[in-house]
Amino acid sequence: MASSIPGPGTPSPPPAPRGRRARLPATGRVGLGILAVLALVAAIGPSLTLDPYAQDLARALEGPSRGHWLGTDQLGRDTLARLVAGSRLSLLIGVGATLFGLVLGGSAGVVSGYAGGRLDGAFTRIVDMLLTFPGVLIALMVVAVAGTGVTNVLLAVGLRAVPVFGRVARASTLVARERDSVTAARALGASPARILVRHIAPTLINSIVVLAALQVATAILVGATLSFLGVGVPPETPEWGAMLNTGRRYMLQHGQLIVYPGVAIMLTILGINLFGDGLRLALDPRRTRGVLLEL
Amino acid sequence: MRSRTLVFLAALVALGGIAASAQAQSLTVLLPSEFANLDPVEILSGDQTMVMYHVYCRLYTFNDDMEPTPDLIAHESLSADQRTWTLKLKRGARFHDGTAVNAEAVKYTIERMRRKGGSQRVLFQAISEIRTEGEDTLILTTQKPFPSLRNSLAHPNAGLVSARADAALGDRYGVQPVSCGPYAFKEWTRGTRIVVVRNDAYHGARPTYDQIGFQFVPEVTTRLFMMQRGQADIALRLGPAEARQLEGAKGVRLLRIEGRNIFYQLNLALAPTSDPRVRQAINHAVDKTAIIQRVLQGAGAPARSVIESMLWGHTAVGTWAYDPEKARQLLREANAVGARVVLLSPENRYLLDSQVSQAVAGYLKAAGLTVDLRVIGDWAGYIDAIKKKDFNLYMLGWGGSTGDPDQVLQSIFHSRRAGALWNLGAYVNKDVDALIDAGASTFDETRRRRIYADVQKRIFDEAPWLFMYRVTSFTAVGDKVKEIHTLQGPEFHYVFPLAR
Repeated sequence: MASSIPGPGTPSPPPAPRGRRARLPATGRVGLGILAVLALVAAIGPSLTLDPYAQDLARALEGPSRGHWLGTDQLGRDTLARLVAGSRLSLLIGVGATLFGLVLGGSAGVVSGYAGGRLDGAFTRIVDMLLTFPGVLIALMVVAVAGTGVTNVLLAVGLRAVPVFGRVARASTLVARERDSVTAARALGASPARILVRHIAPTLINSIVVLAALQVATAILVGATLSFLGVGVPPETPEWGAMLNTGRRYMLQHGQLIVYPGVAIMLTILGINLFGDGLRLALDPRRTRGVLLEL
Repeated sequence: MRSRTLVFLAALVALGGIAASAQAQSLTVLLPSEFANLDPVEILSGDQTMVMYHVYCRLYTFNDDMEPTPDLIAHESLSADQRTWTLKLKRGARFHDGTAVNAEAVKYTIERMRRKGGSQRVLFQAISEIRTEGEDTLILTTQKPFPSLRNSLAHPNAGLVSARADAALGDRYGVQPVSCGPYAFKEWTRGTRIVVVRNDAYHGARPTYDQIGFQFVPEVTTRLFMMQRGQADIALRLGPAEARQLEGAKGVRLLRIEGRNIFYQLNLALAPTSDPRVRQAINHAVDKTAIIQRVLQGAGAPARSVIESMLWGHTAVGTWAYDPEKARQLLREANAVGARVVLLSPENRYLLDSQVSQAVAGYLKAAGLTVDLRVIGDWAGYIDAIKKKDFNLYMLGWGGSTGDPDQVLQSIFHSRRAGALWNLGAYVNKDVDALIDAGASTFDETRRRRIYADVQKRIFDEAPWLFMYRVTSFTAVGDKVKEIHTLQGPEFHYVFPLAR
């Protein structure tokens, strides 16, 4: 997974002076570049490619040609179109599930950390328990109960992220709670809600943003894993994990079918991890005091 | 001194030989799908049947041409009115738990089957009375002449059950069965494998292997790899691509299996498939030839009737031509353009099943239907899903496992079974009922053929199925396997000597 060690060729920047704007390291910018291309493909790609569902058995399992740049799959569907459509779905699942986990886990963690006492004790136990399960297992259980489909996969993958965000949000809240500014606000009679929103939440942004960026990668992987196992999206859906699963059956005759979605997943995860790591370096309080990013 | 050394060496070599042959005495068979139990009351798949064939003994068994031949029968006679069978059993056969296999045990088995009421009860419904006379004579009376009785008794549905074990095990009987076949059940690791061991007290020829492991490997590529690496001795249901990989491989031979009739049963009790025009449209919408050529890579032939050529009495009624324009027009006439249909498909049960279902879904969409395709991976879960009857189409394969067309017709098309397995699509036609009953109650084979030709024509015209293809698959057999018998239609094998 993500590593905090900067890639080769990235000299560690000296501690930035107070107030200086953070800069994304070079590897982070490469990651951002990959993500930008991916986002562009997901946004406008599907309108430029063929129908990813249109089957033409007469042209099944063909190699690259002028009509089908990356060839066709076992039902004669355009591989490029399916790959491009899959980018949209992967990003949707990755970002959607992460947002779900962030909102639910983050708010629960902040409230728990701020309230302390029994509520916090119970919350910590639950989070600890959930974190002992492998993420894929939690997602599998959710899908087993709720059934398959894009929405359910999104929820299942999102639910997996809830304890991850909950734990980080709670830990940061415990620190922020002891700040002088919070004590002052409390002394002035500010309501807990106001303190949480105005004084505590802003201090969490750095850690949560970095975590979220890296969690998107995990979410995409878990989503693809579910589809690969055949419990994710419906079988005809152009999803990378599902494409990998189908391609595996034709591995011996037409190996390309597993190469394309495999490379797509790999590049996406690489991009997100590079970007997330860069973000972490840029936002590290030991290196910079800045909150705003200069990209 | 020297002779002693020689004796010692000879003994060593002999020991080594024994050790090596002991090694060679166990067999690993790769099955694509698992199943819920091994109870003869409810047999729901060919892979299940194959394991049961090794564990259960029956009064009759099938030879390689799928004709019933006596196994535990010493003598049989049929009364002049063709309604009373007197069956004299061979002496000395024992169940795996040591109890005697006698006329009483057969009576118990058939009554248990009828009492529990599984989907194959139709095989025994004609029997009106079962009597025993002494230890080893069984007298069966049927309401009418019942020509396929021997076929029914040869099917694993008539696998003999030890009454003592059945009483002791109760609900657990199906997962640790006790019968009198060449191999005795040893253990079942769910999701992994079933192990059976040689029954040393078997009444027939001594079974070849010490034990057989039936291992569940859903992935066809994994079955191929295991076969290539010598980790398995028999691998079922390989596709043409996998077969090509094994061609010319050392120590592996390929059996070409002309297998099941694959079709989608349509739901006649649920809109829009309750409308015959929609059913016709569905049959015209799907290009079976393209599916056979491209998805199955040639491993099949278009189905021409509800009874395929693995059974006598088969009549090639015809095929529904691929005509997308006509399909769209029929849907317009039926006011069913855009109507939603639920299509259920198994995965890894039949050759490339879920891929074929995706292709079918694509054709139905192209014809103007909205398709909700649901693929269910485990076979037991799939059976549960189809039993809910909220499908419009579901995929099924039928191999004629009794060798008599009566079983197919009774099970799938008689109104007696409407709404239950295997007539879940609720096909009801009183004229067809009468014809099926007539065919089941005469020994006159010419007459039966005529009746079945008529039945096949009538059913075909009503399009209660989306007719697909008869599938061809391959079984890889390692050279450790000396004797293997194949029942083509049901797609299963047995590895013990045929009864004489």
